[in-house]
Amino acid sequence: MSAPATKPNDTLLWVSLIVFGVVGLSVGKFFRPGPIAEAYVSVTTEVRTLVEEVPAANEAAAKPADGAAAEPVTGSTPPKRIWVDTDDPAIERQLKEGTLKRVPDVAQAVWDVRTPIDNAATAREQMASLENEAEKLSAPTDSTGLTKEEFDQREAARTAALKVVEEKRIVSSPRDSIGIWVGALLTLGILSFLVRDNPFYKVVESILIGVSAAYWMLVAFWSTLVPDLLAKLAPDLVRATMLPGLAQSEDPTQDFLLALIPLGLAIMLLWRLMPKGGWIAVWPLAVVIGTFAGMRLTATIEADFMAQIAAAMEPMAAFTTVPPDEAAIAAAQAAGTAPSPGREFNFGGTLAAILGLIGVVTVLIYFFFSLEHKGVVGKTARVGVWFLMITFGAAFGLTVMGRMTLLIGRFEFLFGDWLNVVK
Amino acid sequence: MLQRTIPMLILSASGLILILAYFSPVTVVWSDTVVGWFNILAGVAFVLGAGNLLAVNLEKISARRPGWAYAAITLASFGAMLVVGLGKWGAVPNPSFPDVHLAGDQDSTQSAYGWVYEYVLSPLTATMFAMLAFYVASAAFRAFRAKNIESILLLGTAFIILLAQVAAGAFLTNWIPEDRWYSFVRAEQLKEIILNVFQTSGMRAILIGIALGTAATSLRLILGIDRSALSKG
Repeated sequence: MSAPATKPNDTLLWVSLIVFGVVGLSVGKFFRPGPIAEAYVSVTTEVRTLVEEVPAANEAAAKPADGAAAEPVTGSTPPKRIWVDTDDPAIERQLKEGTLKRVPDVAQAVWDVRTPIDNAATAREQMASLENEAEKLSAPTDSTGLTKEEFDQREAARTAALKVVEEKRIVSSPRDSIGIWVGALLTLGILSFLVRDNPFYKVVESILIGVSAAYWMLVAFWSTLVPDLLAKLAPDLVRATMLPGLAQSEDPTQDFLLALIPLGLAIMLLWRLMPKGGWIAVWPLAVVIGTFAGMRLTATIEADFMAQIAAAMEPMAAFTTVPPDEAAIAAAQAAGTAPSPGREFNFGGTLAAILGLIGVVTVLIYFFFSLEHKGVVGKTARVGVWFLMITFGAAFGLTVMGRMTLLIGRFEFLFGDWLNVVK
Repeated sequence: MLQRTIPMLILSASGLILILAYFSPVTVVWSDTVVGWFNILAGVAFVLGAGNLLAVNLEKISARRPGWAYAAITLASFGAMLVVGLGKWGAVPNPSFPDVHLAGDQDSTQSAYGWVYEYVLSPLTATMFAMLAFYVASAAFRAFRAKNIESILLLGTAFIILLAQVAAGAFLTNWIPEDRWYSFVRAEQLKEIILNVFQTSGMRAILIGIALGTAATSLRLILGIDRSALSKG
């Protein structure tokens, strides 16, 4: 009777990992330049004011010329209202000229735009530099010998510069710090699968499935369903709630009627979720398959088949352009023309071109299964297999390196962004 | 008729319109319309997928099948992401229309959707793919055996490509002078030769084969020779 297989002690493993983590963090604390998961954002405040265009044409029509009776303006559209940045010099000028005017009783829209700064050390340096600059600009300066005009000009410039500096705010961002913690824990959750399948990994995996399903659904909703379907079915509603910049259609009725077809097909596709009548979903699937087949047929013939054959049509003998030799220069001088550059046979390039052609032809022969791979065909196909093996080997190497790059990126995130141990 | 013939006609008509549009500018408007419908249906397919995810996980929870708690976590994260993404929570207002909340931009971490993308979805997917480095290396270690000329070529090429991309490649071969005829043995030059000559020709032949296969399959579908795609309702 064989001895029972020893089961690794899970508790010991997890305790070891936690102890290792805690000790590692504590030791790392002594070498760390800043706190864990340090995140900063630069904050810009945006202010927008609602203005309306002054209908100059209507005003002119309302003023009677030569004492004639004023004609009522009929069918006039309400003035166009837009949100503008009143600090913009062009808008400021239009407000002064009176072509634009502020809409009364509508509050300004004010919000902050927070842009994350990648490196915490850079953010700290920027903060210190801004503080120094602000301090310098606010410090009292010597004004002896200045006229009042010069003094006023200098103070105005200083106030403007101070305003610019004060508007550049770099602040610590707890929201992003929490995000880094969340990202780090989730990363560790996935990596824990390397030890073995465990509940931590399963929780993280479930989160990934749920979030990515919702993400792709949202991408489809905002980038396709809203502008291509809802905007045609209910343009006014979409304009008022989601896409205020939606252009006015030339023929909304035709758009509406045409949009009913994909709407019907979409409902038929969703019918697949119903317990009965799943065949109804075959109709929209036929549209999808037919369209995709039509698109791929033309695209692959043009972009892959023709383009690859054209690219394979290279001259077998390669030459390199070299500077003109002395004889050519002398001949050109005698003829009074510019010397033309010479050509030199390129052995490496020629060999590469010949090998390239052999590779394409032999691999294609290997894929040609209508002929039995015997005799000359078999031997040629064998060479094709060698080319394929080299191709797959290179693809394998590149794939491994790509994944390694991703892994390095994750470790940089863990030890840099999160633990702040490496720069 | 409803389940076989009409879907076949729809499939053929959509495919033929796309092919015709390639040759005749008159039918470009038709093809644009059909492609528009295709895009909408592709978008709806994501909704269908989400609906399916809901159905499967809800059934698992209601039947209290093993692992139902994970199904609940999946649904909770799905619902949370959907709510913040549809409602555009914390979205940065559109400067031209700050009064229309749903016109805002939610790509930055300022919005809940952008935050989840940056700190949940992005690390998770990147780590998932990064894990493949371990599995690919482990599988290669177990499966790669230099038994014949083909496996030696595959193994040797992969080794050279990996070596040339790390510092060891340069360290081992940098002593070879660059201006000699045998300079091609330097790791970085070997890599260039493999990628530009051998891999390019191999991939070119594969792409030509794929293009022919794609064209043949598309024609079989459009002409109704292959009806397997529409066989299951």
